[in-house]
Amino acid sequence: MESVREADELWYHLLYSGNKEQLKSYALLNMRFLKTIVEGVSVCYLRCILDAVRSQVLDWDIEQLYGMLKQSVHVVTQDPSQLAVEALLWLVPFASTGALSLHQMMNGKSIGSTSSHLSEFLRQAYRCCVDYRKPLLYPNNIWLNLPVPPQVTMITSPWSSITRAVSTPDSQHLIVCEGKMLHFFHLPTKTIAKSVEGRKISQFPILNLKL
Amino acid sequence: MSSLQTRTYTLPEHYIERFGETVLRTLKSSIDDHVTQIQNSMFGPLGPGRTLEHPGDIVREAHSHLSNFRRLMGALGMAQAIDSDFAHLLQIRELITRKVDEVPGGRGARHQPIVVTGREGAGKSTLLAQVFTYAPEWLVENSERDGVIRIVRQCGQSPSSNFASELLRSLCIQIAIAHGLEAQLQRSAAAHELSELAICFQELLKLRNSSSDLLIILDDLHHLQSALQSSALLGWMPWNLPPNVYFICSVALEAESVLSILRSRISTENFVCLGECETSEAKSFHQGNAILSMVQCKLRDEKRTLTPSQWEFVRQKIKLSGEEMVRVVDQPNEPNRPIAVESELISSENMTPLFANLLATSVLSSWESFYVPEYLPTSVSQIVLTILDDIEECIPYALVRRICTYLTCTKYGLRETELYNLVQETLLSQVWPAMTNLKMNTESSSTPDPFEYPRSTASMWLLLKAKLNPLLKEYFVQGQLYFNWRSPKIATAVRERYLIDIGQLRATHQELTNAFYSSFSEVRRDELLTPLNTSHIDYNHWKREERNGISERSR
Repeated sequence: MESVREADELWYHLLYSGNKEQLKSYALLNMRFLKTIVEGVSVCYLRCILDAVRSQVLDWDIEQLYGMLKQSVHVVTQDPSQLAVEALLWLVPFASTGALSLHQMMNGKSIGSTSSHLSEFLRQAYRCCVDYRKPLLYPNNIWLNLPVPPQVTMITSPWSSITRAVSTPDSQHLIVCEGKMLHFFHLPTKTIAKSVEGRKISQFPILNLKL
Repeated sequence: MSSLQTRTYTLPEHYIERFGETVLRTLKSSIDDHVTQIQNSMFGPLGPGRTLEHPGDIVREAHSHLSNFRRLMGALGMAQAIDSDFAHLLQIRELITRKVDEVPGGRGARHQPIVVTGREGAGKSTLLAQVFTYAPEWLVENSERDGVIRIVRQCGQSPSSNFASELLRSLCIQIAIAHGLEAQLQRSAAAHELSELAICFQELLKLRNSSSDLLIILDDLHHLQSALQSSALLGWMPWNLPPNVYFICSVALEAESVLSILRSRISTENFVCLGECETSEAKSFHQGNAILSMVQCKLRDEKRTLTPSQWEFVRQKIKLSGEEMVRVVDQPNEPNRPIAVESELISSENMTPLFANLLATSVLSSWESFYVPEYLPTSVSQIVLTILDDIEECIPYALVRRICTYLTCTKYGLRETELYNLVQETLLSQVWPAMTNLKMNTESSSTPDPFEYPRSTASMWLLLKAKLNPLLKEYFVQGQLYFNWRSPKIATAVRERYLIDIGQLRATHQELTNAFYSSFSEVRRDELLTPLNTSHIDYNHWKREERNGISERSR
């Protein structure tokens, strides 16, 4: 594949331009991009890219994609064309609402309940499977799925006790109050961004935290 | 007189035809042999689409890195190669050719990797390129081995060498192919975890037959990224190597974390330190002399020379930055001491081979014999600023800024066609409309326009390329040629000049995203790669309009 360099530069610039929506729709949840990387370089490289992205951005779709890759890495290494099938196998339960079969779901109206990026990604995967020239086995039902690990990501807290916590609107920071201190915790890198201490006058612990 | 006559030779009949047929036949038979050999060898009866996939990628990758190293070697001119200080090269030779019995630890101790450290621009890559070139001679004369297999990677200069696990994977595959170890090849091609790959790598180093030596060279180890903590980053490195395996890597002095891990595991005698590792007063004198001799050699390679007065000026300026520090230190006042140490560090930091190279090629080569010099840049960033000032006088600012920021922000640089298209597109959409507006406003006045930019894209591109040439390097990524800044120091200087705040940086990344996305979505499998299509950004309508406008005006 000759466009590996374009794909490689694409995700890099998307990550550093801070545009998360485009990062997901152009690169990470884009079937064409994934196929280019997997066939041009390797699955190992795709996982490295996802690691690099996950260290800067915390996002549900990306974590789901990472989980799916982790489960299906052996299959995809042996045959890169199975990537679309694996996506359908593992990720459909998160995008379906009430449709009875895959065909129905793909031809129905836009799902919109969980995330549009994921459903668009699954739609692309479906189209890949349907348009594939050689015989390919893919699942047509949505009610019989492989069990997915329930937790997406885990964060250990560096403090002993936390009384209140609230997340910022972009879900990248967690504002945590521990006694009289307020900490700004950056979730993707799992580091403390800033700590603010209450003034001496207010000896009372913080009771409520709302954004 | 007869010797001046031109002689004509006639070939025998049908010679050309027979020659052509023989060449074609030989080519066909050798290609057929090779294809059957590959299909019958390690990949078994897989389909034709799959057989050549792994070797194709790895071969292209290996070739690109090898070519880059050869280019580095070729960039070293004749005079520089003869005159340079060979101490480090001889030190590495000593470490490599030392027999196992002579190792102080006795028979049990095996030899360890060799680490080359130095600041950015101190010449680590050049030293590694020299080792790469001369290693077969050193090793073959030392023992009765068959030959040396050399594997080279420059971390951060291709997609497969950005991340630790991917780099290990490609190394394992290459070693397995080079030695014909089929099982290991399958296993390393399927592996994806760093720990698994590390085990694979160690096994490969032990399992390979000992009839040939293996030399692995990794340049710029600090560019290697990994999702793991930095302490586990180098967990895959083999600390004790088998007897006929040699591992040389280079690390920049600024990468503290990587360097500390290496120092803790490898004995100090395996460290080759380039340039300044300790600061002392006498060293700054020697540094100045070394820089001057490097400048002289480079000028001789460029076939230029300076008049004696110009030489005196250069010598004074370079020695001055070293001498000043000595004078300050000699003063008895205590408060001056910390300042002296700091500025001594600054000046010795700048006296690198990169600085000498840039000074000779860009600044001193353009001094005419009647030129009386007044100013000499004393650091790499000052040289970059001087060159950029010079360029901005004859090429529109918008164009220079765009090209410089794009080159700084991309990972691997840009191809020549992409740069040319950028020039064309910027001129058509931004520069010429602005110029025509200016002209229309000042049409009434009779004074000529002071800034007459060249009218054609090609001439502007050639001018820009010639002016930027000292700062750029050309190298291969995945088999294609790219232009990029010669050193990260230059990229930093450019960034400080054009990309001051993060908003501009993000905007540049966004523009690059749009450009790469449009070219990525246009490329089909069978098509040849189209150059970076920047016309898909906002300027699409400009381009069409202005092209019509210009064609009318030129009539």
